[in-house]
Amino acid sequence: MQAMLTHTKMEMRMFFREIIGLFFVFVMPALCFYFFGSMFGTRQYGDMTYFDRYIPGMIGVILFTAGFFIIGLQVVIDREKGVYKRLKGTPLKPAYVFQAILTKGFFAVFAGALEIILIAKYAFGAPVSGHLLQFLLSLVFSSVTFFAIGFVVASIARRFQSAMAIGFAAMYPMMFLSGATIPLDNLPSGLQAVSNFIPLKYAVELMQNGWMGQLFTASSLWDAVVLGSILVVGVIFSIRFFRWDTE
Amino acid sequence: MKNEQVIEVNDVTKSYGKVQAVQGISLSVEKGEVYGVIGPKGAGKSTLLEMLMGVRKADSGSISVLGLDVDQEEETLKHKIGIQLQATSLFDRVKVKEALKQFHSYYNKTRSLDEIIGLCSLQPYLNKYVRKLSGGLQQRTALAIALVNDPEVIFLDEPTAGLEPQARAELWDIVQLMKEEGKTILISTHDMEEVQTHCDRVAVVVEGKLFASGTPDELIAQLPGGDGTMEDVYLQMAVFQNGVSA
Repeated sequence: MQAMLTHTKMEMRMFFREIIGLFFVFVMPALCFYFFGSMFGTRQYGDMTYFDRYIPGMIGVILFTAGFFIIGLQVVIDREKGVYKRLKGTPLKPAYVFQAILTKGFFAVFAGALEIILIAKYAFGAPVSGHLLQFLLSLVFSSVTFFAIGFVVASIARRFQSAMAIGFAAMYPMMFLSGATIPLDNLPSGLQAVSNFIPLKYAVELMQNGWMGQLFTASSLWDAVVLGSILVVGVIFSIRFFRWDTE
Repeated sequence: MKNEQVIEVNDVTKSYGKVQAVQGISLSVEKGEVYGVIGPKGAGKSTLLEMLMGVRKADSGSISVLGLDVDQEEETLKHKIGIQLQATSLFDRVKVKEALKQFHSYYNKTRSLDEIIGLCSLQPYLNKYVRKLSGGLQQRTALAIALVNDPEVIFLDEPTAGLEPQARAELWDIVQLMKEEGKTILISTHDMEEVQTHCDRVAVVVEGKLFASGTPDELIAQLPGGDGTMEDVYLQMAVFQNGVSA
């Protein structure tokens, strides 16, 4: 137990020292949220305010950055450095290493989400959802799915540069074609069709439903099915292809 | 009286795809020995050591360390051995003291960190990032980490590679101290002068096979003319046999 706690503490400490991860989780989404909120904060989308729609949206961007950069990219960097190989020479169980990575991922998501909610509340006076439990549930489910995608990235990319390239290539579609930052209705029909292949779209929709207290309605079903399928495929793929060490 | 064998390797093989890195090596190491593994780059030394450390699995053959099977009794064994990989292999932004404390927490039985810090002369560097230290200090940190559990057997994979003479001498001094404490040390190196001084026995590995083994004197005696140094042994056996010009 002591080993697990110390290792988790170390992962967390490394997280706070990694500039790229901190930027993509705490700086970039907060700046984008403030920028877009200042421009479009008064808009209304049916029964949803701008903030009902884009608090979950920007938290979706944090999910993506946590999955791709905090987990996927960092695992590739640590593996390339031989960190996991060295740990394999100790009695530390691989499950503890895995647990520490997930803890770091959840911390990034929860802290980033709290930051967005606080910006919305104190900078724009937006009310916090009255359905926080539903929102939390949708956030946890979506996070796990994106962490699985992070491990898929770490299974595919053997080098830091490849993982970085995958992250950046995925970033723009995830940000702008998922409904996380701009309304999908405003996109040309071709891009709207493309958005159906962007996993973040389903996470954002599920979290928007959670935020509005509609998580357990039919409108969440398809999003949950798609995310669940990505999670299952991601886990199976990672079990088959993920390696702690490069031979 | 027969000495206690702490490492027994029987007909071990390991391949990476079509490359046969280790081809049927058998050897044994006795308690308290400093056992050197020498050979050219790519000979399979690191793969052999990593299989003994339990960080790589052999394709076939058996490895027993301290009477424990490296595959079957992995966890028990890892509490009793200390390892140093060829690269420092630590988190990118970790400080010396943090790394020591991190590894110290993984073991049931440990040695005092203050004692290890003193032994490896790391006191002035405890709050420095490992990656910002010189190669010699990075290796000393890695060696200190290998000692946190007061291991009975220590595996060191080229700990002196790329180091200046003084840093090399300091590392060998620590190896000597460990030997005096009765620990068994298996070390791969290109440092032939120190091999001759410090190693009780040496294995020469060429193209994944055990080419020769014995005490430095026995290996030197096998040279044409029966005279020379471990440098000559290395050149004759490891390099020329491998078809590589020195």
